[in-house]
Amino acid sequence: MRAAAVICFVLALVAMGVWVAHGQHLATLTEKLVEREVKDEFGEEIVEEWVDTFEVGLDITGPVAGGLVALGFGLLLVNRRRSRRGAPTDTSSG
Amino acid sequence: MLLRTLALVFALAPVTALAVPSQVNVAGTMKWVSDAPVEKIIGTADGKGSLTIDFDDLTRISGTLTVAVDTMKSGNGKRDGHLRSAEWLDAAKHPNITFTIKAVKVTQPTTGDAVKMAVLEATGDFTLHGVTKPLTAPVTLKWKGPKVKITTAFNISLDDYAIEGKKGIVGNKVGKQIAVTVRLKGKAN
Repeated sequence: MRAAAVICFVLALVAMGVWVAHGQHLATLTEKLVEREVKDEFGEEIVEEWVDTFEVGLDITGPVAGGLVALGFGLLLVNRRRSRRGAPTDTSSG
Repeated sequence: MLLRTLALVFALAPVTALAVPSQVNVAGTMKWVSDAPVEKIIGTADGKGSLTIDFDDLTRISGTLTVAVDTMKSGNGKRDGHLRSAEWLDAAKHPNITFTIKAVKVTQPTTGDAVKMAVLEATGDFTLHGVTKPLTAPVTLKWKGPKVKITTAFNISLDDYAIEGKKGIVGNKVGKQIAVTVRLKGKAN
């Protein structure tokens, strides 16, 4: 059970890492505004266009990481209670 | 006498034709940027307008530019929904953002041959969220034959237009000031 808790904590860290890698947005972006330079009859200009993307935000990674941390602590708590009752505990994490 | 009058009329005809202001329907994009400490949000909206432009006397430009609140997007559908809700821009009650030009000052006179360009300062009534305030913005006007391009950039303060949003959001997740850039193109009729 302790091993499962550790896995939860690691996955929570991974979720936050993914959030950082995706640009640390609060809201998940499904479209992104991309600027490109084009030449028209008036000369060079910058044109913006929306392109499909998926940049995960804190609105998804936050609850996921929070849930995993809570689950990890829950598993540790259950493990501790079991050990107090004298039941065999899971010490597979070492 | 009749011949002289006719000659004068024909001689003045091109001048008179040039002096007639042109009706220009423009359309394009409004880009807006909210740069808050917690997050930077970049979005767009569709803009359009109808202007009367006298290319010989740019101070006579008049007309209204309109942006439909419903077309505002920021790359996140849920956030766009919030943006249009009664808590923020209230698209149901105030469907449009408008800028009605009242006066124009030429800050850089017309230059160029094929593509003409002038830099102006437009003053008018800016209406957002049902609140109208005077606004002065620098405008770059370019035209080539009947084709016209208008670019302007200015900042607006959410406070000025009674946009409060959820408590504690403005100033943290949403900037107190919104930077607006408008690019419109059209053709003179």
